[in-house]
Amino acid sequence: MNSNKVLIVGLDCFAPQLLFDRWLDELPAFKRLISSGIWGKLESTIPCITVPAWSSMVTSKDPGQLGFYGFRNRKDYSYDALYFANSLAVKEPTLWNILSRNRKSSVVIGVPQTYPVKPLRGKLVGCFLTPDENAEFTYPETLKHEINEIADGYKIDVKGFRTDDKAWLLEQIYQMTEKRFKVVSEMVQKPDWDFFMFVEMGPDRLHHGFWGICEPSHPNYEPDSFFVNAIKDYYKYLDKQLEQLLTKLDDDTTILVVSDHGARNLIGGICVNEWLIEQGLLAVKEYPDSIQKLTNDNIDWENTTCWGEGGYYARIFFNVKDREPSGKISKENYQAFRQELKAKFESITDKDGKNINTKVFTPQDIYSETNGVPPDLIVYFGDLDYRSIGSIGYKDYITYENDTGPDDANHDHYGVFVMSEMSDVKNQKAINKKLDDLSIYDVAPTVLDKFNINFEKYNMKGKVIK
Amino acid sequence: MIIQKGFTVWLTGISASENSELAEMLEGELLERGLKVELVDENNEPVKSKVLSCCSDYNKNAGALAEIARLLARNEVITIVSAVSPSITIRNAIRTQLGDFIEVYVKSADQNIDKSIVEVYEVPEKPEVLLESSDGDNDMKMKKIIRTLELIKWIPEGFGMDYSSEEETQIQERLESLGYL
Repeated sequence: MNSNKVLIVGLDCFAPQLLFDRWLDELPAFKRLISSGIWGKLESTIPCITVPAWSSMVTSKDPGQLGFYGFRNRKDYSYDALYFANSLAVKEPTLWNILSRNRKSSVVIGVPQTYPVKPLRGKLVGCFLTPDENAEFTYPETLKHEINEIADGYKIDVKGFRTDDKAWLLEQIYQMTEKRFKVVSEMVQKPDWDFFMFVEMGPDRLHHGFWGICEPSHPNYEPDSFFVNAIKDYYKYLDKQLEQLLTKLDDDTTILVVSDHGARNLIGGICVNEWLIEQGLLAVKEYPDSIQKLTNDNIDWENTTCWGEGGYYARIFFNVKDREPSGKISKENYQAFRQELKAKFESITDKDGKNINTKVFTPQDIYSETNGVPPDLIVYFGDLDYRSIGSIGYKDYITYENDTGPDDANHDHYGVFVMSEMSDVKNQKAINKKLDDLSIYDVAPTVLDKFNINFEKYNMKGKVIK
Repeated sequence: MIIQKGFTVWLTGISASENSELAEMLEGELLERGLKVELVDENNEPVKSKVLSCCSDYNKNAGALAEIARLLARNEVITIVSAVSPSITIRNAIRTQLGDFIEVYVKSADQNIDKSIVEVYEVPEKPEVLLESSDGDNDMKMKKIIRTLELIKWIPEGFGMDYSSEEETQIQERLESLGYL
C-alpha cells in the first residue's frame, strides 16, 4: 500500500526482548501497533552502535560503503589523524535527500549524524553530536527559536552521564525525552511534511545507566533498589508518549518504530591493549603505575605490531610496512598474521579459563566495500558480554571495572522493527505479522516504496518489507 | 523552505541531451538543498511543442522558455532552462529580459550532433560557467555550476562547518562519558 505520509519513531537502543517478550502486555500503544502491523527483530550493523547504525538505516549502505566504522575514525594511515564521523562524513544519499529530490518534504529530528546541519526540503533538528545548545543545530536556523519555545529550552542530550547519582540521571533522561516529544508532537500536527523521522536517545542513556540495577539476569541486579523498575517505568512512559502521538496522525500515515540496536548484559571489559602487550604485539615506552589512556606518544611504534581502540567493541589496527609510518608487518605476511590474531582473540578465556566466545570480523568479508580507513579487525569480546577497554595500567587483560565509569549494558545485535498503517491501527485490524529476516538496511527501501519512489539507482542493500 | 531569490540558469550548447542531463542533475541537487526549483527543458513535455528543425525554431522556442523562466523567477523560483538556443543575439536579449541570469555553456565533444545545429550555433562570448571535458564527469560539471551559484551567493552554502578544536574536545569528552570511545 502506498502512503501519503511516513513517520519513523526512532528509539536508540530500544531492546526487542523487553518490548516483544517481557513487557508488551503493559505497553498498550506498542501492542496496538504490533497487533495491526508487521514486526520483528531488526538486525543491526556490525558494529551495532549508534554511529554508523542510524546512517546505515537511512541510506541502506553498510559501514564500509559509508566509509566510517564508529564514532572516531582514522583519516589516513598516520598514527594520530582521527576525525569524528558527524554529518559531513555521510556522503551517501539519506532518505530525506532522496525524498527532497522527489519533491517530498521531511521533518528530521535528532537522527544521529545530522550535525552540522545540512539543508533539505523541510526542517531538521541536529543530533546529539551537536556540541551544545548554543550551536546552530537547526535548519532553517529560525527553527531553533521555535523548538526552544515549544520545549521551554530544547535538550539535545544528557550531560554528565557518568554519575553514581542515579536520581539526577533519571531526571535528566525524562526531561530530555519529554522535551523531544513536545517538539515532535507539535511539529507532527503541521501539514508541511510527507516524511517525519525522530530519534530519541533516552532508551540508550537509560540502559547504560540502569541496566545492572534493573535486569534480573545481570550480576549487579539490585532487587531492593529504588530504581529497580527504572527501565520498565521508562518504557511505560514512552508508551504513553506514543499513545499521544498516535492520536495526532492521519489515517493515511504509515508509522514505523525502530531501534538501531538492542541492549544486553555487559559483565566486564577486556583490556585490549594490555592483552596485546602480553602477547608481545604492542610495546609502550613507559608502562604507567596507574590506569591511563594509551597515547600515541607512549607507543613504541618501531616495536609495535598492532593496537586497539576501546569502546563497546574493539577495532584493531595493524602497523603495516609501507602503510603506517613505522610499519612492522610486511604486506606478504598481512593475511597470515590477521588469521593468527583472529584465532588468538577467539581463544580468550575468562579468569576461570572458560572461553568467552569472542567474535572477530574482517571488514573485507562483511562489507560490500571498505571506503575510508577500515580497521584491520573488528572484535566483539565475549560476543558483546565484555566491552573493549583501551586504557593501560590494569596489569591484567580482564577487568570488571570500566575505564569510563559505571555501565552494565552493552549494545546487542538486534533492535526492534514495527510497521503499521494508521488506518489499520484505528480500525483495530488484526494483522500481527512477525517476520524473522529483517535488517536495518531494509528500512530505507521500505520507506521509499511507500512513496512509490524508484530507488534502484541508489544500489541499496536492503529489501522492501511487506 | 527557506526564502530565496528567483533566478534563471540557462544551459546552452549544441548537444540537447548533454544539456538535459546536466540540467536534471542540477535540479536534483538544488531540490536536495530544499530550494524551490523548476526544470524547463525544450526536449520535455509540456514545453516541447514540435520537432525543432531549424535555427529560427530554436530561437523562437528559446523566447517562449524565457517567458516561463521570467514568470517563475518573479515568484522566487530557481528556473533551470535546458535549450540549445544557438543565437547569441537571442540569448543576450533573454539575459537582458530576465536580469538574474546565469549562462552555462555546455561545450560538447560529441561528433554525432546534427550538422545543421553545429553550423548555426554561436558560442557564448562570456558565459558565467563554461563546462568542457577537462572539468571531469557530469557530477563534477554540475558541482561547478553549484559552486558558482554559491560564490555569487545566489544559493546558500550546502554544508555546515566542521567542529572547531574546542567543539571537538567537547564532543570527545561527551562520547567518552557515554562509553562510545
